[in-house]
Amino acid sequence: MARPLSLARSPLHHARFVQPRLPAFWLYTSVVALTGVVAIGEQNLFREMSPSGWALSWGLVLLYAAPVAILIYLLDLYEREPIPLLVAAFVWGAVAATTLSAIGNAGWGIVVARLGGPEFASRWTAALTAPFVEEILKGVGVVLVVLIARDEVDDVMDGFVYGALCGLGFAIVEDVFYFIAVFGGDVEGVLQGFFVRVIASGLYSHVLYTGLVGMAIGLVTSRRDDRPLRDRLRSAGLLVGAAVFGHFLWNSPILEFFPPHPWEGTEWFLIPVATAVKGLPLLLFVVLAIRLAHARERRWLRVTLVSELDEGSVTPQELAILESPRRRFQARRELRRRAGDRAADLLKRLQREQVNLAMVRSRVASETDPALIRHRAVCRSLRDALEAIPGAASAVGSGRPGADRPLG
Amino acid sequence: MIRASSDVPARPDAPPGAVRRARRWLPTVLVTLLISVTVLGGFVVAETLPAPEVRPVAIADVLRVRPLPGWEVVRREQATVPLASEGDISGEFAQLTRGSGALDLLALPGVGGDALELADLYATAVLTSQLERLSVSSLVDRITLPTGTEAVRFGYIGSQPQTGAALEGSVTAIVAPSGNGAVFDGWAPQGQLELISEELVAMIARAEVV
Repeated sequence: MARPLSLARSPLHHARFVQPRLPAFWLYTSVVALTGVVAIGEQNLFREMSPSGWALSWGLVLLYAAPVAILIYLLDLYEREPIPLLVAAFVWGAVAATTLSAIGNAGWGIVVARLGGPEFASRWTAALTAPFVEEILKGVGVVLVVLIARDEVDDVMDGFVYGALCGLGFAIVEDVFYFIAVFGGDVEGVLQGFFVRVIASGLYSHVLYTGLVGMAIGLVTSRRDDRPLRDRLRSAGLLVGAAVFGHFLWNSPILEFFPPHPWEGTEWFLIPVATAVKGLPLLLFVVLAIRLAHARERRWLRVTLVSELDEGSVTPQELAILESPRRRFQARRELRRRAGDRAADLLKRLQREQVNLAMVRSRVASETDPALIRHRAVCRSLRDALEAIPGAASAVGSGRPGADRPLG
Repeated sequence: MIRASSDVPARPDAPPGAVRRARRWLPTVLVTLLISVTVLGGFVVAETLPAPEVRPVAIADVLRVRPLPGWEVVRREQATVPLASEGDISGEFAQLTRGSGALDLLALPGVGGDALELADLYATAVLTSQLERLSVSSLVDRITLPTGTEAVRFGYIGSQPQTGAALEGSVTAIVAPSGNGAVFDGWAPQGQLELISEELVAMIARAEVV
């Protein structure tokens, strides 16, 4: 039986977060450490003010954050990002961006007040400061992840994942702040805050804004986009502009359909309507952007691996399956039924290494690059091993190189 | 699809794959600058903008405050404060603001009593009627202002009924030997009081209560 090659994971993948030789790593850790002291102090204050409300607040936001984080993670269809880097983006948003934004918003708030006067400032400061200050400071978190682990951010979807997680970290800390400081911090107040800020508004929050900013960063740093930098910068500017405008609209007195406070009876039902008026257009925009990014990834995978068909590292049938996460899952499930767990696990590894092959191929400069040759060999040996399993051969072997099957 | 490498060889005669050492510091320095400008730039820019000329503010012939640059009077009106016992007491109210926070001034001629009683009156009669979810610090500080005047100070948090926005504030109450009282209520959105606290303290320290 052919044995798969022992493959050390390519250094192109799964870069470590802790990289003391990189200045960006030290900038990240210094800022998080300094702002962390302030953030912990604030949480201690909240805990002292309302221990039960504080605990309930964190319980509720984590209940919301966990599935959102998993969804964001799974949105990256081909190469899931390393957990330590995702945690780094999340922590930056939760600790550094929130603390620095409070200071930055205050400073630029003075500018707005001096230019526009106190009456104007009371209505417009939040709209004119936070979208710029907060999106820059959250976006910096994604930039630092790029600087620490350049090879991990390949394209738009990677940027979205890091940006959205950074925004999620920011959102949950801000939510806890609002539950305690704005909604009173008692159980009733926290539940009201959870309804207003998470149930009614959670879909439109910082996850979207920073997801778009992350997409822009992914576009600029993309390894797969052959367009000139100027063109990519223009597209990135549009994405950042959409994020800032969405944030501006959310914070501004424009399209304000919230019922006057305090809310009673049916007024509570108006709140999701009021938030949807401001937030739904941006949500739809982000959904569209994600679909386009997925289509872009599929196109990249197809174009990159089509030229591998002659090398035997991927077959037309495998490529057709590889493009769709759903088809990949179905193929594994079918193989598990026919040939057992080991065959399904091998197929999963083959699929992963074929995606990795596409990554390696788009990064190396030569057809004869040793990393590329090694990866081709790994894919071929994995298929050989798979075909040696009784019951698996007919499933994976029908599309051997040279069979010239349609791509499906 | 094979991409042309974007890495520049260290030398023209360098072997394939030998690339120039990446410039690691420049992007990090640029990011540091971006953070600094975003976080601190507002304060620097604000310093360059002309602050409105503010003259000393006299309130009800009881209180005289010298607003610091950037602070201006945005409200001024007669005020009536209900007393705990019966009836009420008239005075004058003024509000100074710098945009990100405010200093409310209340002058009550002939209020009598001591500073602690005035602080209690302000908390129960004014703050409770203006704010929701009011929480007042259980400890009251007795302080002596640089002018030698005795005062008491307490903190509070609450939320504005109209907007739901959280506020935090610090109240300083003074009763002069003449029996005239003055209350200084410096407040700001939650988390931002600290940013204006030095200016509040400076204006209160220089205030005159006769």
